[in-house]
Amino acid sequence: MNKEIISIKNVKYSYETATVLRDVSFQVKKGEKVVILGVNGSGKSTLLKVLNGLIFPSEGEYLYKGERITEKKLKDRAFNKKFRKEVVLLFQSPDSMLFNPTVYDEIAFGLRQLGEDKKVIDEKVRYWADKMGIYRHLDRPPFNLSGGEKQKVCLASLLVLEPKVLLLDEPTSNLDPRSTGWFIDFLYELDKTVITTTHNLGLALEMGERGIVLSENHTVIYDGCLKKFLKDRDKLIEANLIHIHKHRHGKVEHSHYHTHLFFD
Amino acid sequence: MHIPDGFLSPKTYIPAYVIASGLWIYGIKKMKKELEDKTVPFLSVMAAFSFVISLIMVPIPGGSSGHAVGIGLLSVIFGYWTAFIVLSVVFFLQAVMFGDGGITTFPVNAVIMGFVGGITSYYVYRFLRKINNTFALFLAGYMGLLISAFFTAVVLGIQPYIAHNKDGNPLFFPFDLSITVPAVLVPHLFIGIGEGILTVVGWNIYRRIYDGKD
Amino acid sequence: MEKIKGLLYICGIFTFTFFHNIYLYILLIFFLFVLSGKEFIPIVKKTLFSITIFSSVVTASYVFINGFDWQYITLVNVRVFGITFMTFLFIKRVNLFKLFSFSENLMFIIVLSYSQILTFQKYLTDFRFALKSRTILKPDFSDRYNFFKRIVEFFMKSSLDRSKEINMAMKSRGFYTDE
Repeated sequence: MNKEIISIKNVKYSYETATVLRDVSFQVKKGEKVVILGVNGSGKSTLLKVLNGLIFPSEGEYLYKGERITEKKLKDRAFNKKFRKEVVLLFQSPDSMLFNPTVYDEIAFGLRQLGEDKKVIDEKVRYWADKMGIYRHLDRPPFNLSGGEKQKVCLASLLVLEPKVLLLDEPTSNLDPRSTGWFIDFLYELDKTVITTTHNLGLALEMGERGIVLSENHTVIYDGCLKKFLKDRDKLIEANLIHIHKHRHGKVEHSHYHTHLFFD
Repeated sequence: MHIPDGFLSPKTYIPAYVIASGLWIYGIKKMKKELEDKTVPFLSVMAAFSFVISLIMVPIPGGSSGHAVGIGLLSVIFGYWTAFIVLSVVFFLQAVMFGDGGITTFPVNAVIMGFVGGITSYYVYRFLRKINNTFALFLAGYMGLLISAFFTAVVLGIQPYIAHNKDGNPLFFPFDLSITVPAVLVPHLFIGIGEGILTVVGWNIYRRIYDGKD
Repeated sequence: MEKIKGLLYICGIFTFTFFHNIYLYILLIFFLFVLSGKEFIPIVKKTLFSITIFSSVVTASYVFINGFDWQYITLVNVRVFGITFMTFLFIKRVNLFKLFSFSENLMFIIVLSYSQILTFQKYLTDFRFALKSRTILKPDFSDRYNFFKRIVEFFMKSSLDRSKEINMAMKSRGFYTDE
């Protein structure tokens, strides 16, 4: 249970003009639930893309189960197959993930590639559709569903592969309050390694106990107990997750730190 | 078909600018009459659409794929004037913003691919749609691209005749028609399939969105 | 100022295409290098990236067919490099949107389509990443076809929606005052 499944060492990533990750290091143990916190543009999404082997660090290294993930490594078909099955990413916008003609085909997409038996595929698809509450939509095209339902289709398509690591990019940003509640409960019961990004302080605590915080400067400024972090005013300011809020009570003007807890 | 600057002589790009300007003025007037105040947003968004479409690989049966510009698609849906203006914006942005093609090849591309290609697609579709709609759409895209490829080959191939030094050596693009026509046309016999597929797929999607069917 | 730069740029194009003197080209390119200053390396890279494929195919075929005529080869390649370098330098130094400020409509078309392209490119990257992320083995033809269809539909639908939205936004900001 205590083995490190993911290890990132001094990772740097730059686009043409800007650096979006700077000297990022951390390890994740099997079964851990980690929340990556940071404002928009701090590099959270990029970090998940590195972890999913879609882009590769310009400096530093990324080890998955002790194996270094590089472009070359993923060209190895056997390894690629194993990696893509075990590490899955839920994109921030579910729209970019859905392209099959029906919800059924969408969920079956990964299994069909693995060449599983039709009966097994059918069983698994129906099981996950039922679990996600989208069974009645199985024959519909996925892109016309509501935001929350699309999210569920995406999740079902990923979970049907029985992955080891689930990467979730701002999973609650498209959800209404009720679906958010459903999602939090679902995550709580999920027995997998989960890395979730968010800028929502109110929900962060419900998505994991450990927090890794990225600053606007694209470095890790905190790694540890999320509860403690949320009480650390200086660190919260450094990450730009709270700001000073001025207002008047009658004639007295006063200012205090303002967090956007819960739904921001 | 992205020819950089420096291969086409002034004898080519100056007349091309003159012709293109005339067509642009007339085309925009025509568009404005139809779309009125919607012209600017429509044109901009459709240019972005066509630009992004040209980045997508169209899957071709048999395991390969090719790029398409969407000339046939725009032309059969919105008419060839609109298609021409939209593609002109795309070629312009490609040349100056994204380094694909050049500022002297831009009017040539606009006239050949945007106008000649568009008009070809439009009429191929009009004449054949009664026989079979899907077939007409495919051929509209295919022929639109093939005809523009042919004219591009001609423009390249006449360079050694119209632009050479005293000794008869070329100054710009060096090969004549006997080389450019087969060299450009043969691969486009294949590339055109992608354009054809895009026209069929895109037209059906447009009808579905437009008719509100699902 | 933008208009003077625009005029100089056109003069540059004419110089590169009306005169066929390699020394003149080299002199002009040297001058452009000096003007490029700190951006020299990125612009050279961008230039080479943009012209290499076409130029090398033409050059190689030419050598293959006509033998090694270094005068022609250098003339054309130096010219192509020169104009392209100049164009990229021009774009870096000139606010293109301002250059078209003589026509409000034209300026809006360029601004709007450019910004829309950037947005669409981001979506496209995500689509591609998602397909890559979900591809366990090689996707077969029907998967690639479905994916293609979906992208075309997505972009067409968002284009038509965006067009209406921009139109309303422009109205709301009082753009069509002359009507």
